[in-house]
Amino acid sequence: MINTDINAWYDAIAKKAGVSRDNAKEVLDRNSVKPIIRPAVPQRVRILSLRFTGKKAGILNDEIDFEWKDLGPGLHAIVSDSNFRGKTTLLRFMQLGLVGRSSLAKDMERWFDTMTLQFSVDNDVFETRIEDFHAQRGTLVQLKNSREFVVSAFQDATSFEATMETFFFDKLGLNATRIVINQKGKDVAQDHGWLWLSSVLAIDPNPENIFGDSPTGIGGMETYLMRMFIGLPWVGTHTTIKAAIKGIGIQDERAGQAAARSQSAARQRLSELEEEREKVGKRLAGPDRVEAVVSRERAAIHRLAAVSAEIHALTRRHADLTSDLSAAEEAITHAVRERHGFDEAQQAGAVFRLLRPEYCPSCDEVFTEGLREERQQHHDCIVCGRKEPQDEEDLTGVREALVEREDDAKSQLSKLKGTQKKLEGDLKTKKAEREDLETELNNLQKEITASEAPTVAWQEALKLDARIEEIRRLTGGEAPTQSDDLKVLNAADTVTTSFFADEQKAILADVAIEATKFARSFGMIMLESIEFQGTRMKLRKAGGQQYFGDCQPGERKRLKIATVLAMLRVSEARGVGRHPGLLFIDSPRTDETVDDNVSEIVKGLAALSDEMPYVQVFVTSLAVPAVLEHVSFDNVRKSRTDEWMW
Amino acid sequence: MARDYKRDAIRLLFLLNAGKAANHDEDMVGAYPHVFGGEKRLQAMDFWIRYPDYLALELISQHEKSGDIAKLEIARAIYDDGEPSLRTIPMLRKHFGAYEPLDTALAILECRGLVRPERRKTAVGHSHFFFLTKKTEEFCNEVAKEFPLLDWYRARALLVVEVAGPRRGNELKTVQHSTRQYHDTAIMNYIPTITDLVKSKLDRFGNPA
Repeated sequence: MINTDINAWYDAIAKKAGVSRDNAKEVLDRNSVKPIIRPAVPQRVRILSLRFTGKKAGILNDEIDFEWKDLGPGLHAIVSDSNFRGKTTLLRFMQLGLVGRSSLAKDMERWFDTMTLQFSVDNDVFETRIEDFHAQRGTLVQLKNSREFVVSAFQDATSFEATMETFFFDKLGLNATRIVINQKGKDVAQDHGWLWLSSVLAIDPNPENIFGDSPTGIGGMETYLMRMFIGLPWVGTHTTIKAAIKGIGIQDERAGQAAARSQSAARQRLSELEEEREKVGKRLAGPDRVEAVVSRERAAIHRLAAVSAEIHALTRRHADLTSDLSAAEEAITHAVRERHGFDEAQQAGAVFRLLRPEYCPSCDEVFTEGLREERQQHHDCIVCGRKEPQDEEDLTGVREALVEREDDAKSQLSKLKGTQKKLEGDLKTKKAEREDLETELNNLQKEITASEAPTVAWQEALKLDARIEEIRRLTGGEAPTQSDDLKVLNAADTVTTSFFADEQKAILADVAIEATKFARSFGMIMLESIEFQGTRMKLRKAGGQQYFGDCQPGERKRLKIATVLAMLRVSEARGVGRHPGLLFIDSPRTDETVDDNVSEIVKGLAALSDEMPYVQVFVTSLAVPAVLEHVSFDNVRKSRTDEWMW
Repeated sequence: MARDYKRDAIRLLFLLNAGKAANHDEDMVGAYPHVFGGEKRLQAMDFWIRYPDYLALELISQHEKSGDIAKLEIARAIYDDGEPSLRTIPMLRKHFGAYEPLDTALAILECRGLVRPERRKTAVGHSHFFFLTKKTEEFCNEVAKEFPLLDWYRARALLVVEVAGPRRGNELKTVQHSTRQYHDTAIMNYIPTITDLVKSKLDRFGNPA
């Protein structure tokens, strides 16, 4: 059982830090650390309807008036016969109505005038209305007893995002977090809010992480996200403590720089001693001291995180480019088919002008010469008797236009291939860089292990440190509040973790069991079990072991969905959790092939609608039988007869 | 591009001519020395012309049974020439498989005295026959000579007739239904191509010697 006794929490921190309870509280307050023990009762968000209007620009200049209403729980499929027909745009509109920030392509945003997204949070119904899409102006209203109550009005993109963040933080019991990340070698504190937290709703075609979409290894973001949606009390508090500890590290660095600038006489002696200690340290511990190695290790970790983020971005661009390449190849095929069909039709027409009709295929009457002459005189068709058109259809320039379209498509493909080649080169370079860094880190780890054996020389260095510390105190030293703060915050870190660690472990064990079942239902029949090590997922399958990051993209996608569903089921059973139970699954934009991953996942998801009525899932796909056969007819939105979704 | 019935008529003309047999009907043999039997057979053979990848799949299957290397080479040539991309003419899935009304295209042939379709009652229902006149074959030869672009249909019709062999329409349909993508297509939807499936099968046989 989780401990939510705030008094016990303050007492335990004070005791561990060896300060009075009032002092401990004062330090925690000063660093904005508050006990957040809000119970996270599961709240389920569900999309009820979507409508948007506007006018397309460019070649397609028709009016847009899309509406999809009466949406219930369960699995919904957005399908079309071809790619690039606006399926993903529908998902992005839904996300826009919930998150308040547009992820639509910039050139497409101009097309839209208004948007209305109706959704529910448990039994309460709300509507996000954008009345002026360009300015992002509109209102968030609650619909209750046939009346409307304005929850908030927004005038621009910034206030829209703030409106949705405040609303969902309040409804789902979430809170923003401050995370310290490394940017270009400098530690920077960043606030992450609803926009980032809502990344758990979307499942990319090729996910890199189990939880959310943060680049791996950045500031513990993935861990925070996992804990936030498991819904344990104390998690927000714990993250603030971690950020405060890192923040003090930044302040110490700044204070150190300031001290260096104002070298006072009182510190002169201290610097001399410090210099001496450095010399002694070098002499006694040699060049491979742990500190130096640790410092190199830290630098390598920062560089690794940066390279990983770059690889992540390049991989995404590469995936987009692959889709564009398929589309360009499809366009060439289409253009060649058109040109070919035109040529054949021309020749076929000429063929049948060689033979005169002899008799009517309907009544078998043979055409006499008399009838033939009479009809020819009147320019009537010999078979049906209708007036023959005076002029041949004017086909001038048609073939030239078809050839030009073919050439354009080929040139587009050639350009894309050039870009792809360059991108692949960049990706290769970055991956090699990552491998080098990983090797370097491995070697540094070994060095650290080797250096950790206690030696007489090292003990001597420690004695010197103690002397320096003593002189530091005599000369005024460093601001004592900082180290007091750190003491209390470190104690708070340990105490807070102990308050929820056991429960978190138990929940993750339950999630692992459920996730294994789900992943198997998505076709991963060789999977034996899953284990969470922090946010890392370890799999046992086909008698061997593997980590999530080493799986194929299709497997990663299945595992990610399985984990989210498992969290939902566990949260429903335990009555604790913050995931809103809404998922957007986007398919990769492949050419003609059916995406087997999507088919398997759809089969598994379709079987869940009775068992997990609190989940709503939207999936995009090509209109293939594997999908259409498993999704209820009422829940399928298919493209129009002109192949566009809207 | 809008549907062109004359293009359909050319394809059917070559197919009927390639798959014809001697007419044993004494009353008709004078005017119509040859006949093509079975509408289902015609539809099934037309499907193989319109979907080069399904034809390649059948050629591979025949190669696996007989070891005839020539069949594999033809299948490979279909892919090397990019036919699945360029030559596919989509066909709808109806209750019994790929089907398309042929009346208009056949009427173009019929009124010019090239083909005479007839529906005859049999012991178990009805059968369709397509009677061919003397000039049908001559006309086919003339078209192939004068219009080289359309000669592809003549050659393809001969290949399809060879691949189909003496099998009846029902037997050909059974073979086509055994491909999951064909069978699983929803009614009134276009039958999907199986380009990647056939390509991977061809790749398994390795490169030609």
